[in-house]
Amino acid sequence: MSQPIDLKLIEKCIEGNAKAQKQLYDATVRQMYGVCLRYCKNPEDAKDVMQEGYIRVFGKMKQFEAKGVIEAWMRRIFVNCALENIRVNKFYTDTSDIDEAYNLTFENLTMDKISQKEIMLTLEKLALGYRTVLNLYAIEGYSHAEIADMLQINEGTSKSQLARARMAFVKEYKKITS
Amino acid sequence: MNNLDKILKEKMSDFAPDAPNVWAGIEQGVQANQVVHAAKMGKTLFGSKLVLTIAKIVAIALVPTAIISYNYFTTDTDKTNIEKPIQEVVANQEQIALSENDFVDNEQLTKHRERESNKKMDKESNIPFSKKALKKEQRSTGVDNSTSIKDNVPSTIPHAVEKKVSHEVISSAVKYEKPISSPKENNTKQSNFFDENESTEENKEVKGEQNKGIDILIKMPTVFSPDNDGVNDKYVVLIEGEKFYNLKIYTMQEELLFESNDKLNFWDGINPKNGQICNSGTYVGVLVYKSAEDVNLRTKRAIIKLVR
Repeated sequence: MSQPIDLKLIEKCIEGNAKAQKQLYDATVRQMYGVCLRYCKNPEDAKDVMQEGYIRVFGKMKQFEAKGVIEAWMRRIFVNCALENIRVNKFYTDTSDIDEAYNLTFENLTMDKISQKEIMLTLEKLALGYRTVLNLYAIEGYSHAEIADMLQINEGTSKSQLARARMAFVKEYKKITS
Repeated sequence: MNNLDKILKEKMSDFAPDAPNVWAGIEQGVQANQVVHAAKMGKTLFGSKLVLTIAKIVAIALVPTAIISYNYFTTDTDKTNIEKPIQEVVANQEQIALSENDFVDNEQLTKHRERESNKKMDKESNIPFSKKALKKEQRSTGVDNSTSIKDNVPSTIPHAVEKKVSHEVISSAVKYEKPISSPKENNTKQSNFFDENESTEENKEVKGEQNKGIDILIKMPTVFSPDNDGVNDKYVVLIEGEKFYNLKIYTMQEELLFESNDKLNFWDGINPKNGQICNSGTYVGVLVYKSAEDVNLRTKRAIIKLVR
Protein backbone atom coordinates (compact mmCIF):
# COMPACT_ATOMS: atom_id res chain seq x y z
CA MET A 1 0.00 0.00 0.00
CA SER A 2 1.06 3.61 -0.38
CA GLN A 3 3.14 5.38 2.23
CA PRO A 4 1.40 6.20 5.52
CA ILE A 5 -0.23 9.59 5.86
CA ASP A 6 1.57 11.83 8.30
CA LEU A 7 -0.05 14.14 10.80
CA LYS A 8 1.20 17.33 9.13
CA LEU A 9 -0.84 16.58 6.05
CA ILE A 10 -3.91 16.01 8.19
CA GLU A 11 -3.35 19.29 10.01
CA LYS A 12 -3.11 21.10 6.70
CA CYS A 13 -6.32 19.43 5.57
CA ILE A 14 -8.06 20.64 8.70
CA GLU A 15 -6.91 24.19 7.94
CA GLY A 16 -8.55 23.85 4.56
CA ASN A 17 -5.48 23.67 2.39
CA ALA A 18 -6.72 22.49 -1.00
CA LYS A 19 -3.37 21.04 -2.02
CA ALA A 20 -3.16 18.93 1.10
CA GLN A 21 -6.71 17.76 0.58
CA LYS A 22 -5.90 16.73 -2.96
CA GLN A 23 -2.85 14.87 -1.64
CA LEU A 24 -4.96 12.99 0.88
CA TYR A 25 -7.51 12.26 -1.80
CA ASP A 26 -4.87 10.85 -4.13
CA ALA A 27 -3.41 8.69 -1.40
CA THR A 28 -6.69 7.12 -0.33
CA VAL A 29 -9.00 7.24 -3.32
CA ARG A 30 -8.45 3.70 -4.57
CA GLN A 31 -8.96 2.15 -1.19
CA MET A 32 -12.09 4.18 -0.49
CA TYR A 33 -13.51 3.45 -3.91
CA GLY A 34 -13.12 -0.20 -3.06
CA VAL A 35 -15.21 0.33 0.05
CA CYS A 36 -17.89 2.19 -1.89
CA LEU A 37 -17.97 -0.37 -4.65
CA ARG A 38 -18.49 -3.20 -2.22
CA TYR A 39 -21.60 -1.61 -0.75
CA CYS A 40 -23.17 0.05 -3.76
CA LYS A 41 -25.16 -1.62 -6.46
CA ASN A 42 -23.34 -0.03 -9.37
CA PRO A 43 -20.24 2.07 -10.11
CA GLU A 44 -22.30 5.24 -10.57
CA ASP A 45 -23.65 4.98 -7.05
CA ALA A 46 -20.19 4.23 -5.74
CA LYS A 47 -18.94 7.39 -7.41
CA ASP A 48 -21.67 9.47 -5.81
CA VAL A 49 -21.05 7.95 -2.42
CA MET A 50 -17.33 8.54 -2.73
CA GLN A 51 -17.81 12.20 -3.61
CA GLU A 52 -20.16 12.74 -0.71
CA GLY A 53 -17.86 10.80 1.56
CA TYR A 54 -14.86 12.96 0.76
CA ILE A 55 -16.84 16.17 1.22
CA ARG A 56 -17.95 14.87 4.59
CA VAL A 57 -14.43 13.79 5.51
CA PHE A 58 -13.00 17.23 4.79
CA GLY A 59 -15.91 18.93 6.54
CA LYS A 60 -15.58 16.84 9.68
CA MET A 61 -11.82 16.55 9.77
CA LYS A 62 -11.71 18.64 12.94
CA GLN A 63 -13.41 15.81 14.76
CA PHE A 64 -10.65 13.38 13.88
CA GLU A 65 -8.49 12.92 16.94
CA ALA A 66 -5.06 11.70 16.06
CA LYS A 67 -5.57 8.55 18.09
CA GLY A 68 -6.24 6.10 15.34
CA VAL A 69 -5.33 5.69 11.74
CA ILE A 70 -6.91 8.19 9.40
CA GLU A 71 -7.76 5.47 6.90
CA ALA A 72 -9.82 3.59 9.45
CA TRP A 73 -11.64 6.76 10.42
CA MET A 74 -12.33 7.62 6.79
CA ARG A 75 -13.45 4.08 6.09
CA ARG A 76 -16.08 4.36 8.80
CA ILE A 77 -17.42 7.58 7.30
CA PHE A 78 -17.55 6.00 3.87
CA VAL A 79 -19.36 2.95 5.20
CA ASN A 80 -21.94 5.22 6.83
CA CYS A 81 -22.31 7.18 3.60
CA ALA A 82 -22.85 4.01 1.65
CA LEU A 83 -25.41 2.74 4.14
CA GLU A 84 -27.29 6.02 3.92
CA ASN A 85 -27.24 5.77 0.16
CA ILE A 86 -28.69 2.29 0.35
CA ARG A 87 -31.38 3.46 2.72
CA VAL A 88 -32.33 6.38 0.48
CA ASN A 89 -32.41 4.50 -2.76
CA LYS A 90 -33.77 1.25 -1.41
CA PHE A 91 -32.74 -1.03 -4.15
CA TYR A 92 -34.34 -4.00 -2.51
CA THR A 93 -35.24 -5.80 -5.65
CA ASP A 94 -34.69 -9.29 -4.40
CA THR A 95 -35.64 -9.97 -0.82
CA SER A 96 -36.92 -13.46 -1.38
CA ASP A 97 -35.50 -15.84 1.18
CA ILE A 98 -33.53 -18.75 0.00
CA ASP A 99 -34.37 -22.14 1.37
CA GLU A 100 -33.03 -22.34 4.86
CA ALA A 101 -32.58 -26.07 4.47
CA TYR A 102 -30.23 -25.42 1.60
CA ASN A 103 -27.74 -28.18 1.81
CA LEU A 104 -24.32 -26.78 2.20
CA THR A 105 -21.61 -28.86 0.68
CA PHE A 106 -18.76 -26.83 -0.60
CA GLU A 107 -15.09 -27.57 -0.74
CA ASN A 108 -12.87 -25.13 1.03
CA LEU A 109 -10.22 -25.65 -1.57
CA THR A 110 -12.27 -24.08 -4.29
CA MET A 111 -13.07 -21.10 -2.08
CA ASP A 112 -9.42 -20.51 -1.29
CA LYS A 113 -8.66 -19.70 -4.86
CA ILE A 114 -11.42 -17.12 -5.21
CA SER A 115 -10.19 -13.87 -6.73
CA GLN A 116 -11.18 -10.34 -5.85
CA LYS A 117 -13.03 -10.05 -9.09
CA GLU A 118 -15.00 -13.18 -8.39
CA ILE A 119 -15.83 -11.94 -4.92
CA MET A 120 -17.13 -8.69 -6.34
CA LEU A 121 -19.16 -10.50 -8.99
CA THR A 122 -20.68 -12.75 -6.35
CA LEU A 123 -21.43 -9.85 -4.04
CA GLU A 124 -23.20 -8.05 -6.86
CA LYS A 125 -25.50 -11.03 -7.32
CA LEU A 126 -26.49 -11.12 -3.65
CA ALA A 127 -29.54 -9.40 -2.26
CA LEU A 128 -28.65 -6.07 -0.75
CA GLY A 129 -29.39 -7.07 2.83
CA TYR A 130 -27.11 -10.10 2.64
CA ARG A 131 -24.45 -8.14 0.90
CA THR A 132 -24.47 -5.38 3.47
CA VAL A 133 -24.28 -7.75 6.41
CA LEU A 134 -21.52 -9.78 4.81
CA ASN A 135 -19.58 -6.62 4.04
CA LEU A 136 -19.97 -5.25 7.53
CA TYR A 137 -19.26 -8.43 9.44
CA ALA A 138 -16.79 -10.41 7.38
CA ILE A 139 -14.80 -7.74 5.59
CA GLU A 140 -15.12 -4.69 7.79
CA GLY A 141 -15.06 -6.68 11.01
CA TYR A 142 -17.92 -5.03 12.87
CA SER A 143 -19.60 -6.96 15.65
CA HIS A 144 -23.23 -8.03 15.49
CA ALA A 145 -24.15 -5.43 18.08
CA GLU A 146 -22.59 -2.67 15.99
CA ILE A 147 -24.27 -3.90 12.85
CA ALA A 148 -27.61 -4.04 14.63
CA ASP A 149 -27.10 -0.44 15.68
CA MET A 150 -26.03 0.72 12.23
CA LEU A 151 -28.86 -0.94 10.35
CA GLN A 152 -31.43 -0.47 13.11
CA ILE A 153 -32.24 -4.15 13.30
CA ASN A 154 -32.11 -6.70 16.08
CA GLU A 155 -28.87 -8.41 16.91
CA GLY A 156 -30.53 -11.76 16.25
CA THR A 157 -31.64 -10.57 12.83
CA SER A 158 -28.10 -9.61 12.06
CA LYS A 159 -26.85 -13.08 13.01
CA SER A 160 -29.47 -14.94 11.02
CA GLN A 161 -28.97 -12.62 8.06
CA LEU A 162 -25.25 -13.31 8.16
CA ALA A 163 -25.79 -17.07 8.23
CA ARG A 164 -28.11 -16.85 5.26
CA ALA A 165 -25.80 -14.46 3.50
CA ARG A 166 -22.92 -16.92 3.75
CA MET A 167 -25.05 -19.65 2.23
CA ALA A 168 -26.25 -17.36 -0.50
CA PHE A 169 -22.69 -16.32 -1.22
CA VAL A 170 -21.56 -19.90 -1.67
CA LYS A 171 -24.55 -20.64 -3.83
CA GLU A 172 -23.90 -17.65 -6.07
CA TYR A 173 -20.23 -18.44 -6.26
CA LYS A 174 -21.01 -21.96 -7.45
CA LYS A 175 -23.25 -20.54 -10.12
CA ILE A 176 -20.51 -18.24 -11.32
CA THR A 177 -17.77 -20.84 -11.44
CA SER A 178 -19.80 -23.60 -12.99
CA MET B 1 -18.46 -21.26 7.83
CA ASN B 2 -16.15 -18.82 9.57
CA ASN B 3 -13.69 -19.91 6.98
CA LEU B 4 -15.58 -17.93 4.41
CA ASP B 5 -15.33 -14.79 6.54
CA LYS B 6 -11.59 -15.26 6.82
CA ILE B 7 -11.18 -15.79 3.12
CA LEU B 8 -13.27 -12.74 2.34
CA LYS B 9 -11.39 -10.57 4.80
CA GLU B 10 -7.99 -11.67 3.56
CA LYS B 11 -8.85 -11.28 -0.06
CA MET B 12 -10.63 -7.97 0.25
CA SER B 13 -8.28 -6.24 2.71
CA ASP B 14 -6.21 -4.78 -0.11
CA PHE B 15 -9.05 -4.27 -2.52
CA ALA B 16 -8.21 -1.01 -4.24
CA PRO B 17 -9.63 -0.79 -7.74
CA ASP B 18 -8.99 2.02 -10.18
CA ALA B 19 -11.19 4.88 -9.09
CA PRO B 20 -12.89 7.41 -11.31
CA ASN B 21 -11.76 10.99 -10.87
CA VAL B 22 -14.30 12.86 -8.77
CA TRP B 23 -11.92 15.45 -7.36
CA ALA B 24 -13.61 18.34 -9.20
CA GLY B 25 -16.93 17.55 -7.55
CA ILE B 26 -15.33 17.13 -4.16
CA GLU B 27 -13.47 20.43 -4.45
CA GLN B 28 -16.70 22.21 -5.37
CA GLY B 29 -18.54 20.61 -2.50
CA VAL B 30 -15.85 21.49 0.02
CA GLN B 31 -15.72 25.07 -1.21
CA ALA B 32 -19.47 25.42 -1.11
CA ASN B 33 -19.37 24.05 2.41
CA GLN B 34 -16.85 26.67 3.43
CA VAL B 35 -18.75 29.51 1.77
CA VAL B 36 -22.00 28.57 3.44
CA HIS B 37 -20.15 28.20 6.71
CA ALA B 38 -18.54 31.62 6.43
CA ALA B 39 -21.81 33.27 5.40
CA LYS B 40 -23.65 31.79 8.33
CA MET B 41 -20.95 32.76 10.80
CA GLY B 42 -20.89 36.31 9.43
CA LYS B 43 -24.63 36.71 9.73
CA THR B 44 -24.83 35.50 13.27
CA LEU B 45 -21.89 37.63 14.32
CA PHE B 46 -23.46 40.69 12.81
CA GLY B 47 -26.78 39.93 14.43
CA SER B 48 -25.33 39.32 17.86
CA LYS B 49 -23.14 42.42 17.71
CA LEU B 50 -26.08 44.55 16.66
CA VAL B 51 -28.22 43.35 19.53
CA LEU B 52 -25.25 43.78 21.83
CA THR B 53 -24.66 47.38 20.86
CA ILE B 54 -28.34 48.20 21.19
CA ALA B 55 -28.34 46.64 24.62
CA LYS B 56 -25.27 48.67 25.54
CA ILE B 57 -26.86 51.93 24.41
CA VAL B 58 -30.02 51.25 26.34
CA ALA B 59 -28.05 50.20 29.37
CA ILE B 60 -25.70 53.16 29.40
CA ALA B 61 -28.53 55.59 28.82
CA LEU B 62 -30.99 54.20 31.31
CA VAL B 63 -29.11 52.61 34.17
CA PRO B 64 -27.62 55.85 35.58
CA THR B 65 -31.01 57.54 35.48
CA ALA B 66 -32.53 54.52 37.16
CA ILE B 67 -29.93 54.62 39.90
CA ILE B 68 -30.30 58.37 40.38
CA SER B 69 -34.02 58.17 40.63
CA TYR B 70 -33.70 55.18 42.92
CA ASN B 71 -31.58 57.19 45.32
CA TYR B 72 -33.62 60.38 45.07
CA PHE B 73 -37.15 59.13 45.07
CA THR B 74 -37.35 55.92 47.02
CA THR B 75 -38.34 55.68 50.60
CA ASP B 76 -37.05 52.87 52.77
CA THR B 77 -40.05 50.66 52.10
CA ASP B 78 -39.75 51.19 48.38
CA LYS B 79 -36.09 50.29 48.36
CA THR B 80 -36.73 46.71 49.28
CA ASN B 81 -39.21 46.44 46.42
CA ILE B 82 -36.99 47.86 43.73
CA GLU B 83 -33.72 46.45 44.87
CA LYS B 84 -34.20 43.21 42.96
CA PRO B 85 -34.73 44.55 39.45
CA ILE B 86 -31.88 46.95 39.81
CA GLN B 87 -29.56 44.25 41.02
CA GLU B 88 -30.44 42.24 37.97
CA VAL B 89 -29.87 45.18 35.71
CA VAL B 90 -26.48 45.82 37.18
CA ALA B 91 -25.58 42.18 37.11
CA ASN B 92 -26.45 41.86 33.47
CA GLN B 93 -24.59 44.91 32.31
CA GLU B 94 -20.93 45.52 32.84
CA GLN B 95 -21.04 48.71 30.80
CA ILE B 96 -22.25 50.99 33.55
CA ALA B 97 -20.73 54.40 33.87
CA LEU B 98 -18.20 54.11 36.65
CA SER B 99 -18.97 57.56 38.00
CA GLU B 100 -22.33 56.29 39.16
CA ASN B 101 -20.82 53.65 41.40
CA ASP B 102 -20.89 55.88 44.47
CA PHE B 103 -24.63 55.96 44.47
CA VAL B 104 -24.93 52.27 45.20
CA ASP B 105 -23.30 51.48 48.48
CA ASN B 106 -24.06 47.85 48.51
CA GLU B 107 -21.21 45.42 48.96
CA GLN B 108 -23.09 42.42 47.68
CA LEU B 109 -24.10 44.31 44.62
CA THR B 110 -20.57 45.27 43.64
CA LYS B 111 -19.21 41.80 44.31
CA HIS B 112 -21.93 40.26 42.23
CA ARG B 113 -21.25 42.71 39.47
CA GLU B 114 -17.56 41.93 39.46
CA ARG B 115 -18.22 38.23 39.15
CA GLU B 116 -20.69 38.77 36.36
CA SER B 117 -18.44 41.12 34.45
CA ASN B 118 -15.59 38.63 34.65
CA LYS B 119 -17.82 35.98 33.18
CA LYS B 120 -18.96 38.34 30.45
CA MET B 121 -15.44 39.30 29.57
CA ASP B 122 -14.54 35.65 29.17
CA LYS B 123 -17.52 35.08 26.96
CA GLU B 124 -16.93 38.14 24.87
CA SER B 125 -13.29 37.36 24.32
CA ASN B 126 -14.38 34.18 22.56
CA ILE B 127 -16.32 36.05 19.94
CA PRO B 128 -14.31 37.02 16.90
CA PHE B 129 -14.70 40.63 15.93
CA SER B 130 -16.34 41.94 12.79
CA LYS B 131 -15.45 45.29 11.33
CA LYS B 132 -18.98 46.34 10.56
CA ALA B 133 -20.08 45.78 14.08
CA LEU B 134 -17.08 47.72 15.37
CA LYS B 135 -17.92 50.73 13.23
CA LYS B 136 -21.53 50.60 14.30
CA GLU B 137 -20.50 50.45 17.88
CA GLN B 138 -18.28 53.47 17.54
CA ARG B 139 -21.01 55.44 15.88
CA SER B 140 -23.58 54.39 18.37
CA THR B 141 -21.41 55.20 21.37
CA GLY B 142 -20.93 58.68 19.92
CA VAL B 143 -24.68 59.08 19.77
CA ASP B 144 -25.38 57.54 23.09
CA ASN B 145 -23.21 59.96 25.04
CA SER B 146 -25.53 62.73 24.02
CA THR B 147 -28.61 60.69 24.73
CA SER B 148 -27.36 59.73 28.14
CA ILE B 149 -26.82 63.38 28.97
CA LYS B 150 -30.29 64.17 27.79
CA ASP B 151 -31.69 61.41 29.86
CA ASN B 152 -29.76 62.45 32.89
CA VAL B 153 -31.07 66.02 32.84
CA PRO B 154 -34.71 65.44 33.65
CA SER B 155 -34.09 63.72 36.94
CA THR B 156 -37.63 64.50 37.96
CA ILE B 157 -39.07 61.42 36.29
CA PRO B 158 -41.37 59.63 38.70
CA HIS B 159 -39.99 56.31 39.72
CA ALA B 160 -43.00 54.40 38.54
CA VAL B 161 -41.85 55.12 35.02
CA GLU B 162 -38.33 54.22 35.98
CA LYS B 163 -39.51 50.83 37.16
CA LYS B 164 -40.86 50.14 33.72
CA VAL B 165 -37.66 51.35 32.19
CA SER B 166 -35.56 49.09 34.34
CA HIS B 167 -37.67 46.15 33.26
CA GLU B 168 -37.03 47.11 29.68
CA VAL B 169 -33.35 47.05 30.39
CA ILE B 170 -33.67 43.58 31.80
CA SER B 171 -35.53 42.30 28.79
CA SER B 172 -33.03 43.85 26.43
CA ALA B 173 -30.20 42.46 28.47
CA VAL B 174 -31.70 39.02 28.19
CA LYS B 175 -31.96 39.52 24.45
CA TYR B 176 -28.34 40.37 24.21
CA GLU B 177 -27.22 37.43 26.26
CA LYS B 178 -28.76 34.88 23.95
CA PRO B 179 -26.77 35.50 20.76
CA ILE B 180 -23.49 34.96 22.56
CA SER B 181 -24.04 31.25 22.57
CA SER B 182 -25.39 31.19 19.03
CA PRO B 183 -22.09 31.00 17.12
CA LYS B 184 -21.23 27.78 18.90
CA GLU B 185 -24.61 26.28 18.13
CA ASN B 186 -24.21 27.28 14.55
CA ASN B 187 -20.85 25.57 14.44
CA THR B 188 -22.32 22.27 15.37
CA LYS B 189 -25.24 22.71 13.04
CA GLN B 190 -22.93 23.72 10.27
CA SER B 191 -20.90 20.58 10.41
CA ASN B 192 -24.06 18.62 9.72
CA PHE B 193 -25.16 20.85 6.91
CA PHE B 194 -24.39 18.45 4.12
CA ASP B 195 -25.67 15.47 6.02
CA GLU B 196 -29.22 16.68 6.05
CA ASN B 197 -30.37 14.81 3.00
CA GLU B 198 -33.59 13.01 2.39
CA SER B 199 -32.77 10.05 4.56
CA THR B 200 -32.75 12.03 7.78
CA GLU B 201 -36.03 13.64 6.86
CA GLU B 202 -37.57 10.29 6.20
CA ASN B 203 -36.26 8.89 9.45
CA LYS B 204 -37.97 11.69 11.34
CA GLU B 205 -41.28 10.76 9.82
CA VAL B 206 -41.26 7.30 11.25
CA LYS B 207 -43.77 7.61 14.04
CA GLY B 208 -43.14 5.90 17.33
CA GLU B 209 -40.20 3.86 18.47
CA GLN B 210 -41.72 0.48 17.98
CA ASN B 211 -40.96 0.24 14.28
CA LYS B 212 -37.76 -1.65 13.84
CA GLY B 213 -36.01 -3.14 10.92
CA ILE B 214 -34.98 -1.91 7.55
CA ASP B 215 -37.69 -0.20 5.60
CA ILE B 216 -39.44 -2.13 2.89
CA LEU B 217 -38.89 -1.36 -0.75
CA ILE B 218 -40.55 1.85 -1.80
CA LYS B 219 -39.80 3.99 -4.76
CA MET B 220 -41.88 7.12 -5.16
CA PRO B 221 -41.00 8.74 -8.45
CA THR B 222 -40.74 12.50 -8.48
CA VAL B 223 -41.82 13.08 -12.05
CA PHE B 224 -44.25 11.63 -14.55
CA SER B 225 -45.71 12.64 -17.90
CA PRO B 226 -49.32 11.65 -18.66
CA ASP B 227 -49.21 12.58 -22.31
CA ASN B 228 -50.15 9.13 -23.68
CA ASP B 229 -46.80 8.48 -25.26
CA GLY B 230 -46.47 5.16 -23.51
CA VAL B 231 -43.72 6.28 -21.19
CA ASN B 232 -44.44 7.23 -17.59
CA ASP B 233 -48.10 7.92 -18.35
CA LYS B 234 -49.19 6.96 -14.88
CA TYR B 235 -47.83 7.71 -11.46
CA VAL B 236 -46.64 4.35 -10.18
CA VAL B 237 -45.45 3.84 -6.63
CA LEU B 238 -43.17 0.84 -6.41
CA ILE B 239 -43.82 -0.90 -3.14
CA GLU B 240 -43.20 -4.43 -2.02
CA GLY B 241 -44.35 -6.44 0.96
CA GLU B 242 -46.73 -3.87 2.42
CA LYS B 243 -49.65 -4.64 4.70
CA PHE B 244 -51.31 -1.29 4.38
CA TYR B 245 -51.20 1.19 1.55
CA ASN B 246 -52.80 4.57 1.19
CA LEU B 247 -51.70 7.13 -1.38
CA LYS B 248 -53.01 10.66 -1.47
CA ILE B 249 -52.09 13.29 -3.96
CA TYR B 250 -52.58 16.93 -3.20
CA THR B 251 -52.18 20.09 -5.20
CA MET B 252 -49.89 22.78 -3.92
CA GLN B 253 -53.04 24.50 -2.60
CA GLU B 254 -53.54 21.48 -0.32
CA GLU B 255 -56.61 20.25 -2.17
CA LEU B 256 -56.98 16.49 -2.21
CA LEU B 257 -56.90 15.32 -5.81
CA PHE B 258 -56.56 11.59 -5.67
CA GLU B 259 -56.72 8.87 -3.09
CA SER B 260 -56.20 5.16 -3.37
CA ASN B 261 -55.87 2.16 -1.10
CA ASP B 262 -54.85 -0.10 -3.95
CA LYS B 263 -51.30 0.02 -5.11
CA LEU B 264 -52.37 -1.04 -8.60
CA ASN B 265 -54.72 1.93 -8.92
CA PHE B 266 -52.40 4.43 -10.52
CA TRP B 267 -52.97 8.14 -10.92
CA ASP B 268 -53.15 9.17 -14.54
CA GLY B 269 -53.00 12.93 -14.16
CA ILE B 270 -56.77 13.41 -14.23
CA ASN B 271 -58.80 14.88 -11.41
CA PRO B 272 -61.23 12.04 -10.61
CA LYS B 273 -63.76 14.44 -9.08
CA ASN B 274 -64.49 16.51 -12.17
CA GLY B 275 -62.64 14.56 -14.87
CA GLN B 276 -60.48 17.53 -15.75
CA ILE B 277 -56.94 17.05 -16.93
CA CYS B 278 -54.46 18.38 -14.41
CA ASN B 279 -52.06 20.99 -15.63
CA SER B 280 -48.36 20.47 -15.54
CA GLY B 281 -46.91 21.63 -12.30
CA THR B 282 -46.01 20.43 -8.89
CA TYR B 283 -48.08 18.10 -6.76
CA VAL B 284 -47.49 16.43 -3.44
CA GLY B 285 -47.85 12.72 -2.87
CA VAL B 286 -48.30 11.36 0.63
CA LEU B 287 -47.96 7.65 1.13
CA VAL B 288 -49.01 6.01 4.36
CA TYR B 289 -47.93 2.42 4.59
CA LYS B 290 -47.08 -0.40 6.91
CA SER B 291 -44.94 -3.45 6.44
CA ALA B 292 -45.64 -6.83 7.93
CA GLU B 293 -43.14 -6.20 10.74
CA ASP B 294 -44.23 -2.66 11.54
CA VAL B 295 -46.38 -1.85 14.51
CA ASN B 296 -47.17 1.72 13.53
CA LEU B 297 -47.86 3.34 10.22
CA ARG B 298 -45.07 4.99 8.34
CA THR B 299 -45.38 8.02 6.12
CA LYS B 300 -43.43 9.00 3.08
CA ARG B 301 -43.77 12.12 0.98
CA ALA B 302 -42.72 13.02 -2.48
CA ILE B 303 -42.87 16.17 -4.53
CA ILE B 304 -44.27 15.10 -7.88
CA LYS B 305 -43.67 17.08 -11.02
CA LEU B 306 -46.28 16.62 -13.69
CA VAL B 307 -44.92 17.27 -17.15
CA ARG B 308 -47.00 17.23 -20.30
